[in-house]
Order: sequence, then C-alpha cells, then structure tokens
Amino acid sequence: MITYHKFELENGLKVIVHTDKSTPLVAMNTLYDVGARDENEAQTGFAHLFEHLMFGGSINIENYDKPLQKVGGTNNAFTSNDITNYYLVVPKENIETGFWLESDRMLSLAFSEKSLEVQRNVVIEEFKQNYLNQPYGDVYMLLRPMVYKKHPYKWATIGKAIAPIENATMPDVRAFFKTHYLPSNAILCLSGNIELDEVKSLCEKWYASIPVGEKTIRDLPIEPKQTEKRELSVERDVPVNAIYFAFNMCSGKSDDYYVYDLISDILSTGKSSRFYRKLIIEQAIFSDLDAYVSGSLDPGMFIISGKLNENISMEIAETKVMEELQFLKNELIDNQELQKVKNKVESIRVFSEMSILNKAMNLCSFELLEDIDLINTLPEKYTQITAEKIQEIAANCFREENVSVLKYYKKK
Amino acid sequence: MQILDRKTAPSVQEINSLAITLPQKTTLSNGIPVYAIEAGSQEVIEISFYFTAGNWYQLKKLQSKMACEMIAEGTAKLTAHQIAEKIDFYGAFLQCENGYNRTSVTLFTLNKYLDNTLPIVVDVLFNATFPQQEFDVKLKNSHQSFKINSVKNDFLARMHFNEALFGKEHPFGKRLEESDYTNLSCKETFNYYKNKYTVENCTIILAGNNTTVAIEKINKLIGKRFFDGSKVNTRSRFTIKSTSENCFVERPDAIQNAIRIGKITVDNSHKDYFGLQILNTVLGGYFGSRLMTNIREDKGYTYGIGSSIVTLKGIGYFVLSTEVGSDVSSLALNEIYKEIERLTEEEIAEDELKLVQNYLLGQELRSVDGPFALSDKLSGVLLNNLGEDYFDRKVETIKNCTTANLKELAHQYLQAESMLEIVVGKK
Repeated sequence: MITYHKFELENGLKVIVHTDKSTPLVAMNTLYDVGARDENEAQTGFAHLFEHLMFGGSINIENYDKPLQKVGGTNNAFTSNDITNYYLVVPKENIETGFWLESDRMLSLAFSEKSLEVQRNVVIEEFKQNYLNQPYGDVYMLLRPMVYKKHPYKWATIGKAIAPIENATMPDVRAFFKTHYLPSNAILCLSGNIELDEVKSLCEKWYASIPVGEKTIRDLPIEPKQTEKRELSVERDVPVNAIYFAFNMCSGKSDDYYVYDLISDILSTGKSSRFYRKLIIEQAIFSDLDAYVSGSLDPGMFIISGKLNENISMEIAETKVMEELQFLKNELIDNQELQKVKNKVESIRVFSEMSILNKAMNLCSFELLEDIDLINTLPEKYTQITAEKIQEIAANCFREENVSVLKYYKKK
Repeated sequence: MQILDRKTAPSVQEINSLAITLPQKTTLSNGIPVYAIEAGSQEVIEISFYFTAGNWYQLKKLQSKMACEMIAEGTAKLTAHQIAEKIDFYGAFLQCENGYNRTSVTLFTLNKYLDNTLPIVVDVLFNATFPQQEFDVKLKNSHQSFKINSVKNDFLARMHFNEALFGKEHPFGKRLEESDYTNLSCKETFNYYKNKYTVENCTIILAGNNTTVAIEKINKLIGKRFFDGSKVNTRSRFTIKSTSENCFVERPDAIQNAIRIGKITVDNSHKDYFGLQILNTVLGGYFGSRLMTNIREDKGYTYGIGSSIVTLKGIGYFVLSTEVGSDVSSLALNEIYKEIERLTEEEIAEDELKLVQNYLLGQELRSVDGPFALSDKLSGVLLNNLGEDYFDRKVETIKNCTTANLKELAHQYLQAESMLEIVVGKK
C-alpha cells in the first residue's frame, strides 16, 4: 500500500508527497500536461525541442545541470504525444536545490539564442540517430498517419520532418512556454526521504509566487471511426522484412485499457506467450514478434510488430498473426493462462515499487488521469478481468475494418 | 516579508554517509560460495548463479552465448515450454546472461513463490538437455538479429574497435561473421555447457529481504551435489595485439558517422584505476563532461557523446564513442582530440573538480539504493576478490583527488597519439 498526500497551491500547481525512509534519496518529478498532440501540424517536434530548451538556463539560473551535479544529483526528461516529464534524484539533504532549479524554470526560461541554435542541432542529430540512420527507424512516421487522419497523434513526438525543427524561432518558443508551462498545467511529486511538512514549506517558498497564467482549454479534433482496412507497402534498406499492425483501441482513461494491456501480455510477454511459442518457436514464422499498447490519453493503438524469417512471405506472416488473434475471439482463455498474466502484472508492480522514481512518475501519471488512487487500486483493474471480457474486447478490436497494416520490405 | 532570492543557490550539504550493506559470506554444505545482500522492504529476491564461463573460454565464436541461451530450453524433466509456463505463471523472471569472463543465470521472484520457482532454476542449471530443434531456432533468430545489427553504424564501430584494440585472434577481438552462424553445432555448445556450468565453477549471490531462508532452500536443492573445490583451470593466455592504424569503414549513405576512440589502460585491481575513473568522468563520464559540453551543448554535432574505463579481469581499456552528423565528422574529431589534449596539458579548475567529486559521491549513493542496485554494484568486486574495502577506497580516492593527480594521470594514460580511431560512415 503506497501512502501519499496531495495538495494544491493557489496558482493551480498540484503537489503529491510520498514518504519512503528506506532510501537516503528523494525523487522530484514534474509532469507538464503538454505533448506532441498539442502542436500544430506545421510545427511538429516542438514539444520535444522545448524539452531540450528547458535545460538551456532559466531566468535566474544560467545553467540547470551544474548546480544539480554539484549536490550529487542526476536528472533527465522525456516527451511523449501526451506529456513532457522532468525528473531529478538527489540526496535528501540537498532537495532544496531541486526546488530552486525546477521552480525557476517554471517561472521563466532564459530564452537565449545560443541555446535555441544548439538544441535545434542536437534534436536534429537525435532525429538522425534514432529515426533516419537506423534500420526500421521511420516505422512510426509511416504507421501513425495511417491510423490517424485528423487527430494530432498522426505525427510522432520527434516530429514529421527535420525542417520545422530547423525553422523554429524564438517567438515560437516564447509563445509555447507561455501557453503550456504554467503551474496549473503541472503536477509535482516528491517521493523518497522527505515529509509532507517540509514539502509544504518548500513549495510555499519556491512555487507560491509563480503567477497563475492563462490556462488554455484543449480542443483537439476527434478521430473519425475507421471503417475499412488500410494498407501500405514500402521498400527500405534493411536486411529483413518486417510487418506492423495497428488496431484502434480505447483511451488510457478507460477501464478497457487494462484488458487490452492484458491481451498484449497473453500474446507476447514472456517465453510462454502465444506469439513466442507458436509463431516464433514452433512454426518459425517470425524471429521476433511483439504486441503492445500505445498507452495514450486519447484513443490509442494496439500494435503488433514482427520481423519475418527469411523464407516466409508477407502474406503468410499476415495470415498467421490474424489467425492467432482469431483464437482470442473464438475461444475463451482458460483459468491457468489468465491467472498467469495477472500474476505477471502483480509481480511487475511489486518490483517497480522498489524505485522511488517509478513511484513518483506513476503518482503524477495517475493524477493526470484524474484517478490518483490507481497507485493502489491498479491491481484490481487487472484482477477483475474475466475471460469473457477478453473475448469481448478481442472481438471488437481485431477486425479487418479496424486495422492498418504496414508491410516493410527489404530492398532487392 | 523576505524577498525570495532566486539567484542564489541553496547551501550545499556534503554527502557523508555512504553505508554499504556488506554481504554476508557463507557456503553451501558442499562448499559452493554464497554471498547474501540483505536489504530492502519489498518481498522480492534476486538469486544469481555465476559461472566461470564467458567468451574468454569458448573454443568457437558464439559457443558461450548460445550455451547461455540454451540452458532454459529444456531439461530431462521439462520442455522449454513447460519451463517458461511455470516461470511466467509465478510472475518470475529468469535471465541468462553471457559476458566476457563469466555468465550468470538469475532468478527474480516474489518471496512467496520461491518454493515454486527455485527448483525449476536448479533443474535448468544442472540438467539442461539442449534439444536440437530449440537450438536451430535460437541460432537462426540470433543470426537474424546479427543481420539487423550489422547495418547499424554504432554496432559496426564497436566490432571494429574491439578487433583493432585486442587483435583478430584475441577472444575479445574476434569479430562475428555470417559464417559463424552455420559453423556451430548443438553438440559442441552442449559440451561447452557441461564443461563450464559445474558446481566447481559456481558462485551464488542473493539480494533481497529474505536471503537466509533462500539460502536454506538452495542448500536443500544443491548442497549435496558433489563438489571437490577444484576449479578447472582452462584460462589460456592470449596476447593483446592492438593495431597501430586507424580504421574507416565506409558507408556512403550514412547521415551520421559512428566514432570510437580508445586504448588499453589498466583494470580495477590497479592503483591508478579509481583516479582514472574520476578523470574519465571529467572527460566524458557525465552530462556536464568536457566532451558533452563542447561537442553537444556548444557545437550541436551530436545527440550524445561519452567515454568509459572498461575493466575485464586483468584487462582494462579506455573507450570514447559517439554518433555525429556525417558532415561535421572531421570537425567533431578535432574537438574530441582537443578535449583529450587539454586534460594532459592543463589542470582542471578547482570548482570543476569539486563538482565532479560531488557528482560521483551522489552516484555512489544512488548505486547502493536497494538490494538489486547493490547486487549490480557488488557482483564484480565479490567475484573477482577485490576486497571488502574496495568501495571505501573508491570513496576516499574521490574525496582526496587533486587537480594535479588528474593531470598526471591524463599525461600518463590519455596521450592522443596512443589512441586507436575507428570511424564508420560517410567520408
């Protein structure tokens, strides 16, 4: 049972505290409710570029990293289609340095030209390293626009292309900050060797004076329902053919999300999973086959990705995967298999609670979902899933009219 | 009301307490050494069985890796599927890892399921049968992964660097080729397993909050296996033959070049090792390093650049690696050598040293946080008998290091002319 306290400052900043004295450290996690979905289509990759800029100095502090390193801390951040998340871990004695740094960059960035210029280049190198110069690196850039025609999930967090990143200007940056980096748009969690009282007084000191700002209401286009199968074939300089399926699924806020998650475990988690045993080992169709959920706030994707064995045609590969999905639709999963995946979920949760940082990230994420109690009730969401429910969700999801299939061929 | 001063940093508290839970050493009834790290409050345990196996000992390339991968693919009692079913059913994880000098078979499990999972692991360790069908599939899949990796510039850079550093005949330098995947038989791999995965070659390390009980259970299962304490010493000697020439592997379509620069240095039993680690941190061992500050944060040539001192039982080497835009590759190389040379010529500033010291002490603190972190941290030291005071000495060195020390070490170990350079990408 994870105990926590939650309070809110007048300027709208939500603060969560979880005390864990078994560690000499404190994790400080700040989740901003802004992600790639909040970009406009002409300026993709911006939320992620901005994440980089957050390290380029704030209004009163020239350098973010050095003061933290000086007190024995470490930090990092990531951006997704939904959120931008910053975290630091520091010895408990020096937690105030974390407050000083994080509150200042929430207050305002330094907005230096040099920082923008450098980080543009860094992000472009990241684009190349992870997406352009890698085999299969552009898969999501091809898959997303197949699944999403209207919704901003149609582009990946890194952006659609390098050009908009190259062309980002300082006024763009300032506007982005003003719109999204507000206390009312942030959730802060302190997790580790720290008590509620200390957090309250540090928040009062460092965050209370940050102005409220103007919160914008999110109004994103709703993706229209897909009514027929979508297909795309491409040729790339890769050594092995690959295939990708994306089925439409519910949002991360729905209880059905957990059913989809469990289905992905049944299919491909562990060496006793269906995909592994049947399609990798027994029938040797794939050398690698994975099923996973995109885990997004708006309706997401259930993705299956596989690398085909050399002598296997794309048609056979596609048929075999659909056959496996058909089993889930036609047959109720037996108790043993259902219990197995539930046990795995429980086990992963227990292991993840060993980390104060994981706990901090989860508390922030669950608060964003407007159900912070999930930190303790999450296991029930899984244990209550029945075999019938799995069949129902499978039947609804795994249909031709609901899928986009990307066939990724190696160049001859 | 006091005006908040946002310009001044809060006062810095020194990190003083770095209490490491030292492992308890015992043996099983038959003498197999066991280390127990008792820590943490979660009801979980990690049990690692280490064997003196690894690439050093193999007679053919891939033999050690494939032996490691085949262990859980079937025993006399259980098929691969049955093993996986049982492990997965209890929410446990079984990880078999192949290394340079040793391999490990590790069980992660909830304490409440230890009675269910431990016997399976013991069966897997000592009764594996290496079925042909499973071997064929695994080898093929491994081959497929190799094909995919072989088009990645950083993978190629690493393979070529190791070959250049150690030499073509050295176990760490031998480069994998396509033909290796058709040249290895199941029988040869099985023989390697029978030879190396023995009680004589085994050391056990546990980490969690219930280690005493776990040791009793392990003892019941393998404490009676015959063990005469004689370690089969097949550790041949290999000479390191570093090449003297730089290497450029051309990939005309590359948009980034992968770079590796390095040389043989010392390993972690050497008196200069800790100092060299600190020096390495300054150069490329953290986000604020000389390399990151220059080549990423000032020039924007890369998404990431770093360096390490790698230690491998009697062998140590320095390696620096990055992927930079192909069009700025020469410029990046110039800056890299500039940064290396600076350290050999100028003492670093006092406040930079202080920052690195504090950063490293913070890292020490994080590395002892929890049983699994401790086990990661301690395993190398325990298995190589580096002494109980190893980390005390490390912390002392961090605290007492001077800027003059670092310059001397740079001068001795980081001369640019003595470095190998490998580039994979566009010319």
